[in-house]
This record gives sequence, structure tokens and C-alpha cells, in this order.
Amino acid sequence: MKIIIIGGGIAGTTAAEEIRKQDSATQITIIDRENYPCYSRVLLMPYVNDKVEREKMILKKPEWYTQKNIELMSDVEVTKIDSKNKFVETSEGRELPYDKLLITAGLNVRYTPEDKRGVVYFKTLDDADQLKSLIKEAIAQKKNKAVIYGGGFIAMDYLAIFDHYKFDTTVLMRSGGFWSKVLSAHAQQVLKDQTELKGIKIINDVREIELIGETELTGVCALGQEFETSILGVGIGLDPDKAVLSAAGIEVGAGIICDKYLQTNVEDIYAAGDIAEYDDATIGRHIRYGNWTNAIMQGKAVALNMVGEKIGFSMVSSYATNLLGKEIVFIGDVDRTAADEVVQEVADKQNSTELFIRNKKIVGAVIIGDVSKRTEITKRIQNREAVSY
Amino acid sequence: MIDYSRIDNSLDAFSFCYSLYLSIIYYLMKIRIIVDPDLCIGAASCVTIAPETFALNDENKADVLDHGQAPDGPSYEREVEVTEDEFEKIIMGAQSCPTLAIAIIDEAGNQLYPEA
Repeated sequence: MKIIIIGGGIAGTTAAEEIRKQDSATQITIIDRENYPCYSRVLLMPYVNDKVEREKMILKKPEWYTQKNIELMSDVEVTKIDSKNKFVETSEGRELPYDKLLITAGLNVRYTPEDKRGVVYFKTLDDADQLKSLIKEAIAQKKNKAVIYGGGFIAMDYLAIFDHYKFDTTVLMRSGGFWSKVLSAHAQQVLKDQTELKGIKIINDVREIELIGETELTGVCALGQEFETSILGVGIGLDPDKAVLSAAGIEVGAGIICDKYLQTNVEDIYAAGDIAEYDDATIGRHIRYGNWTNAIMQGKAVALNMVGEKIGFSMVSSYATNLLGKEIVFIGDVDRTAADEVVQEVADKQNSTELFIRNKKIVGAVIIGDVSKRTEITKRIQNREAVSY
Repeated sequence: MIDYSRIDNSLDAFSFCYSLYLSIIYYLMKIRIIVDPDLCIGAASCVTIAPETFALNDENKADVLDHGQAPDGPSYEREVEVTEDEFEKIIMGAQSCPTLAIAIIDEAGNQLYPEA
């Protein structure tokens, strides 16, 4: 059997490892657009802050692939999936046949309409290298100002980085606050207080930005105000590569739509990790999670299903981050529009806990500040505990 | 007359053989598990994979447990005796950590993970 895995991140690599554990004969090829073996994206921020060495981030050495008899094609993109004739076309012009295909390609960053030197994104090791060198350059030139565009998880990483290097930082948000579609006004206030405490400037409701500078960035203009900076860190969302997927007849929503077995609507094509929008039995609807643990566990589950088992994937997923020391945990389904009710369980100056209720069951939670109830709430979601709010 | 001392001896011999049998079929190994709280970010992949060994504490970091228990209170470091199956789960839990915050050391002091 020939298995092709598109995407060599942690979901695809875990799947390859698990398939190999189950079967020594299957031919496994991972096609990855980046030029590195599997590395930890979670370490990108500590790496930029000089807290971890570059080689430590690489989780699988090249020898590992040889030992496991897994072919890794780096720096190669899949340009077409022919799901009828079962082959993929690559950027090198090759046509590689498969019996089963796994898509763990992750999502693509949303770019700003214009670009200049100094505009960075924060998804890959190359992005981290670029940001690190821009920071060192700015420090050498005694420019210590930074602007962040976006108010989600990536903004937390940028804030930790610019805080570490003692940059004067401004955050431009497209909405009224951090995670404005998810959090209550109280939760947003707790986060806003934290940024004020740390001397971060927040500008809300920024619909568009204008880059200033000839070729190199010297500033950003938003809402008629100009913010001097040589670095703009962008984190305004992610999207699946719709063109390639849709052309193959694969159903795409916020991610690739798949069933609880992580199988797509097209026979012998599976998805896992950040790109999979799967049918989650625990919360009772399709959902997409973009976090490390989810990617590992889906990688393991999809591998078993691809070699003939039938295991429905279910896990209460969670994201943990912090805003300059203030802990933030998202658990389960925190889509406000999909909840029947959101109950603010804790609301004091330092802390916020919100529970997301659907069909009289807790399906998600956001905890800010004191996160000691994280395990307890996760269990309540896992057990589909009925509530009477 | 029954010679009780012989029964005791034979019981001792039996329990010795039985414990030897158990240690052969459930070969136990001693490992030291260490979580670096400065590296741990509460991603909780170890907790998902090896819940008998790792649990999140109030600081959102992973404590080390001994078979679901925390004798002598919570700790980031513990020496535990585990079967081969348990060992494999713990190693998988450590390998799943995105910040390499978990170290596993064998009885001889060799670091099994992460590779030094």
C-alpha cells in the first residue's frame, strides 16, 4: 500500500510514525512545503526570545525518517490532487500515486494587502528567523518600537517577544478587543487591564492599515494615526488552501469537513490536525482545533483508521497561552454564535470564567487568570454534564 | 502432627516464587520523571497520553504522579516503578511535549528523553 501525507508537521509526522508501528510494509511519503524535518512550532516564541536553541526545536532528526523508512520530501508543494485517478501533482512536476491520502497541511496565513521589508508573520521557523533578525537589527539601530496587527493567539506570542526585548508596543485590532467574537465584555476588560498594566497601547476597530516607508517599513497608519515602527507582526487569521482541495472534490468549510473517523467526503482521503473540521461526538457538531495536542491525537487516530480500524475521534481540546503573565485557557467549543447560552461563572477584577452551554450541556469554557478549575471543567465537558443555568 | 515451621517455610518459598514470577511477567523498571515548570506551558498533551503520570496543577503546569497518586504532596519530579507498557506511555507523553519540558532518566542515570 502507498500512503501519501501532505504536511510534515506534528499531525502528519505522528500519523506516519503510527502507520509504521502498525505495518512495516506500507510505503509512506510525507510531502512538506517547508525545508525542515518536523519541529515544534510551540517553541518558535521561546526561540526568538533566545530561550531555546534552534537545533533543539527539531523534533525528528533526518536519520529518524531513514530508520522508520519514511520518505520526507521537503520544500515541495502539492499543486493538484487527482482524487479520481488517485495521484498528487507536485511543484517539481512529479505525479505521485497513492492508495490512501492524508492531508495534514495546516492552514495558510492571511496576508495584509501590501508588503514591505519589516512585515512579518509567525507560523514557520523561517518566519521566526526573520523576526529574530529584524529585532536584532532594530536594537542595533536603537529603534525599539513594534506594532502588532491582530488580537488572537499569535498576538500573545508577539507580545511576549516584544516585551522580552523591551520594545514599545502598539496592538492594532480589527475588533473591539482580544478574541472579541469569543470573550465576554468582562473577560476582555481583564485582558485590557493586563495590557495597560504592562504599558501596551491598544487601538481598536482598525478596519485597514497602511504601510509607511519606501521599501523598508518605517511606520503603520491606522484610523488616521501614524505609529512609528520598523516591525509589524501580523496575526489576522488562517485559511485552508481551498483551491487545491475544492478542485479535488473535497468538501471544505472552515477546514476540511470530515466524519468522526477523520475521513473526508472523498474515498481514501483523510484529514487531521489544524486543517480537519471533524464531527466531534463530545460537543455534538463539526469543529476545527488548531493546537498541538489535538494534532498529535488526531495523527494517531487517523493512522489507525487508515490501516483498517474504525475509531471515532473524540477529545476535549484546549488551548493554553498567556497575556504577559495572565493565564488564558480555551477548552472545547467556544464559538459564541453556536452556544445557546454563555454563563459568566467567575467575574472579578483579575479573573474571568465563562461556560458555553448548548442543549443544556457544557460544551466549552474560557478561563482567564486563576486556571485551577481547568481539569475539573474539562471533565465536566468530557462527561457531557447536564447543567441547569 | 503438623510441623508449622515447614508450612511457613513453604509459604515463604511460594511467595518468593510468586513475586519472582510477577516480576518476570510484569518486568518493573525504575525511572525518574522530571518536569521543568519554566518550560511547561500547560499544553496538556502528556496529561492526555499518560494521565496516570501527569496532571495539571493550579499553576497550569504538569505535576508528576505515581500511578495516579501524589505521595508526599505535589511534585515536578518523582521516581516511579513502572511496567514496560506504562513506561512506553510515559515516554510517549514526554515525546508529545511541544516544549520538551519532560525528562525521563533511567536507574543508571542515563537520560532516555530528550536525547542529550
